[in-house]
Amino acid sequence: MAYNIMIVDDSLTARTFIARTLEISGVELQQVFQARNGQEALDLLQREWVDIVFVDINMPVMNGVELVRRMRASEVLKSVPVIVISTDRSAQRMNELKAAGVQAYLTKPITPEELKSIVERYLTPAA
Amino acid sequence: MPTDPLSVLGEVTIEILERFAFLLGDPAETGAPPAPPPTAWLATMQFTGPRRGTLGLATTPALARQMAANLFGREPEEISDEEAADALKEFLNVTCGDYLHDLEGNEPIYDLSAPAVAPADREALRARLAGREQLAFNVEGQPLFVFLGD
Repeated sequence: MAYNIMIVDDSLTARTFIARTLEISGVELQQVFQARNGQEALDLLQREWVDIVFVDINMPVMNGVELVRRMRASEVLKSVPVIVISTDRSAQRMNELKAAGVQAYLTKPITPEELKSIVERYLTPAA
Repeated sequence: MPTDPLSVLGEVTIEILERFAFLLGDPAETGAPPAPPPTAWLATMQFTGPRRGTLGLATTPALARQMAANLFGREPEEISDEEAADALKEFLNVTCGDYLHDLEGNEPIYDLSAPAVAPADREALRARLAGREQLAFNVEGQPLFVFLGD
């Protein structure tokens, strides 16, 4: 099964690193969408269906926390799994994000094994 | 696990070089740090929490380009200055997150600024490193300086 995945991070390097790590992990990818901030992600999500969103926290324009809040308030997007990938490792922030509706929290640099495990745990097949 | 900030920073830098940038780095011999390169890129970011300060690194454009090439899966000569600078910023960002975690654990909350990159000539780099806690590495034949500041 191949999946539609979205990566949201203001760093081109981070987006590329996550996309390449996904490829290395062996996860079958149908399409990988990239957005530089939460607003770009929301705009894309209105046009494209994705199975899972990987998102950073600190971004300009709209940060990852606000993106998660807006997705959870949307009838269409509220069930899409959101995984945070960040350099921030504070337990309090992780708990806040999980309470806001984030499924899991990974810290950079992520490994292929971590990503594959997350995908197997949360993804549903693309239509 | 060491608790001295510079020791922690040294271990984290080598680990992130390998795990994130797929590069091997060795600490420069004590008392014989590499000379600052004629042209360098200087990346800095601030952290605010139980500790406040600046984490910075400086290296050659060639190493920044090699780092980006490894991360993007392309050849160094295909990497633009913008991509190389972005790779350097993300490397610093990941290093800073791991450094603060390894130093203080999961409890403290830190706010991290967006990393910035600027060119620096040898004299500007020497002035920036003067008097700061710093480490020097040899990364596949290129110098890498990492420093802490106010």
